[in-house]
Amino acid sequence: MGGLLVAIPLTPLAVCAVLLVGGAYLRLTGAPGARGVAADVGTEIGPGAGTIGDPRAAALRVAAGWLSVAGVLAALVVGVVALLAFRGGAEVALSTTWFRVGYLEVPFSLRLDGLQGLMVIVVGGVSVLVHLFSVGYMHGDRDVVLYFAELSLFSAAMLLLVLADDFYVLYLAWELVGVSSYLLISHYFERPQAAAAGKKAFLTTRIGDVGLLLGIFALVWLTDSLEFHTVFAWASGPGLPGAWRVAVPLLIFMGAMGKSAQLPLHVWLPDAMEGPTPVSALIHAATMVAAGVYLVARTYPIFAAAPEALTVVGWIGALTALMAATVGLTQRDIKKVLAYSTISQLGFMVTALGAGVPAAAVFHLFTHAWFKALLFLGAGSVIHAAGRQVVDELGGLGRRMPITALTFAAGALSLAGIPPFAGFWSKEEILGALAGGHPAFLAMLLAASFFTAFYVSRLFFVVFLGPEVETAAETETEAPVRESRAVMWLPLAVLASATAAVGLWGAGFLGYPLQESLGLEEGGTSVGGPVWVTVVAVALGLAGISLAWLAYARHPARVSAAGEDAAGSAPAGAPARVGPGRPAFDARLEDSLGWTYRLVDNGYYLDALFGRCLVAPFVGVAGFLARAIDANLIDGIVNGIAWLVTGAAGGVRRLQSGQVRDYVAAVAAGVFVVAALVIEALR
Amino acid sequence: MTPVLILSGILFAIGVFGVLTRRNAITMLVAVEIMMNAANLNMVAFSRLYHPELMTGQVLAVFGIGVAASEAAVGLALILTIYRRYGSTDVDRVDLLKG
Repeated sequence: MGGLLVAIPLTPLAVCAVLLVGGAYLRLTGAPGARGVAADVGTEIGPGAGTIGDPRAAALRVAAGWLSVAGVLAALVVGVVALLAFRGGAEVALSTTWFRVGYLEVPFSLRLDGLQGLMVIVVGGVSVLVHLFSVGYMHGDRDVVLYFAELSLFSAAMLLLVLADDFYVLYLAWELVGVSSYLLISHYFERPQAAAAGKKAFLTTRIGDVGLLLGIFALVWLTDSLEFHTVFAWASGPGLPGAWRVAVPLLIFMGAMGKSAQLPLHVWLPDAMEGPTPVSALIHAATMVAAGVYLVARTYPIFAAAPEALTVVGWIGALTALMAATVGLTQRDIKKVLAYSTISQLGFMVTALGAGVPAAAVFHLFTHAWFKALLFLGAGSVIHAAGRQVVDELGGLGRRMPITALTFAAGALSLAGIPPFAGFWSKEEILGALAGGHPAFLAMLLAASFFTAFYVSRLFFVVFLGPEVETAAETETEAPVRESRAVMWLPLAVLASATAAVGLWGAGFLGYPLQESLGLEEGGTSVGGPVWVTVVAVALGLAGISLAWLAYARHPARVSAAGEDAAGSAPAGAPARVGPGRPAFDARLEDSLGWTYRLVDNGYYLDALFGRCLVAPFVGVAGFLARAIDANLIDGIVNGIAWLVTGAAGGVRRLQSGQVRDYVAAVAAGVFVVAALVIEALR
Repeated sequence: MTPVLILSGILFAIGVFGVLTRRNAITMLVAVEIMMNAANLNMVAFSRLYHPELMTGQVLAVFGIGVAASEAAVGLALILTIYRRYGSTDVDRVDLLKG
């Protein structure tokens, strides 16, 4: 049974390899379409403009998307089969030796039980839908084959990560996730912002990765083994060396902070929006950011042994949740709002981890994956149709894109924590657990819930309700914005149904079936919070929605850049249309709050702070080293040695006159000297 | 015995002097031949002195004359090539190996 587990990450990986090899082969054999000309546009780009693309390349471009959908779907099916076998009582695990170097034996262990099974379903399920959505969204993209290869690699890496049963495989998959996220975020690598965003994501998460790596080193040193069960036995056993008990979980948590975008390593995530929108959905729902929370939940016995570490984890999570929720209030880019929303929701999960209820955190991770993927894909649908992603230039799309609007509403209600949507059940689970002994966390998360409801409602009201705003796509093509193709709205519908239903799996009145199925030893049992927490949370959610309705839906006026009410150019009789402009309430809020608004709008200037305090000095020192030390000192030593050799050789060189007689004279002189010495010696 | 060795020394000195002072490659070759004959004369002389019953020195001298002949052939071939390349046999002009 365990051998099946290898197939789960291997199927998408094989698809990735096939696509890369196929694309490279077609490029080498001179087919411009493999990377250059889009087959169906024909004349778009490339030196062969005006010619029709190679038919093989066109076929590969079409096949790439469906092939990668099939790859992830196969992985999901195998995962479900393995999960059913596990439910049937079998031990689904694989343990073998990867390689051996001297006394070091590196194991390769995979395991699937409750927690991993859940993650395989989340990762596989969301991946299938995102791949499917991408078939529509990336249609006609220049690098579509490369895109699907990268997306398959990403899914494969994440599936390997959740199945890992020792730290070697875990770290391998961890880095694979990092590198494939880098590739995907900077998919539009010709745009400088996209290239910079990819680098930023990679380097920021790398800071966390170093912590994780140090934690793994410490574990090797302390326990001589990196298999999870050995490490956990060590962690819960007696006689721990004092400082390591706290240091190891904190180092591991550093890795989680990077990948799961917790303060202060969250700065990469809003920038990661430069990638294609389906990638944002995958990164922010099921894969990249889930990795950190999953890591902590998976290694929870190490954390449970160190309450001090858990306190740190909880505070970081709560601060992140509150900070990101406030920043989400002011963002003007749809994807930025959703990005800060992701950071905030990850903060909820991390707070739950810190409060000792990993089951609740995993439950929230599970529900969040569905509704956040839904929100992102909905945003992708809007962006694809309207060609703009700033709320100023979007409005009243509900009538044009009813499916997108309805499914987005389901996601928004779930994010706001309104029953019976999925987000409600998991958020209640976290808040209820906090009510028993963590009042500070509870207060911060309740505030964050209120802000969450407000900003997501703002987004919905501004984009989908109110008067229509003339969009760029319309002004350029004269074609009205229309609902997306079935390949794009179908994933939305599936995700919306999931968002409505999956919450029940972990619902309290059904006896917490999901939490029970995780089989966590520590904090795996759910107790359910007091009723007043639920009432307060839902009331705050409704209050946020109502206030947003008052602020944005009742007065949907727009303020143009000049500060006047934006007027539309619609002919009389047509539905009211307005020109692009900021929602009026935003402008009024900025006027009345002044610098506070700008502080929040710029993410508390953390980006600028890190840029000034960390990046700029680093670049300065590096520049100094490059110019002063490398160019002068190091190069000086090297050039100096060369100069010495040249000089010495120049002196000796004169002896070689090239004149035969000089050589003969030297020989003769030598002979006379030797002869004189011999004669002297013989006498 | 001594007069023979003195003659041989004079011949060798003439050869060295010729090689060192002449610029013409052919003259230098002639001077080298003179040095070789000084050596041949020495071999015959010392052979007469120490082993009069053996003919070793004489045989070696004849062998040396043969070697000198082939050396002259190789040397002349070189000189011919040099002449074709430079248009003269002046060795001062042949300084390609100058450092």
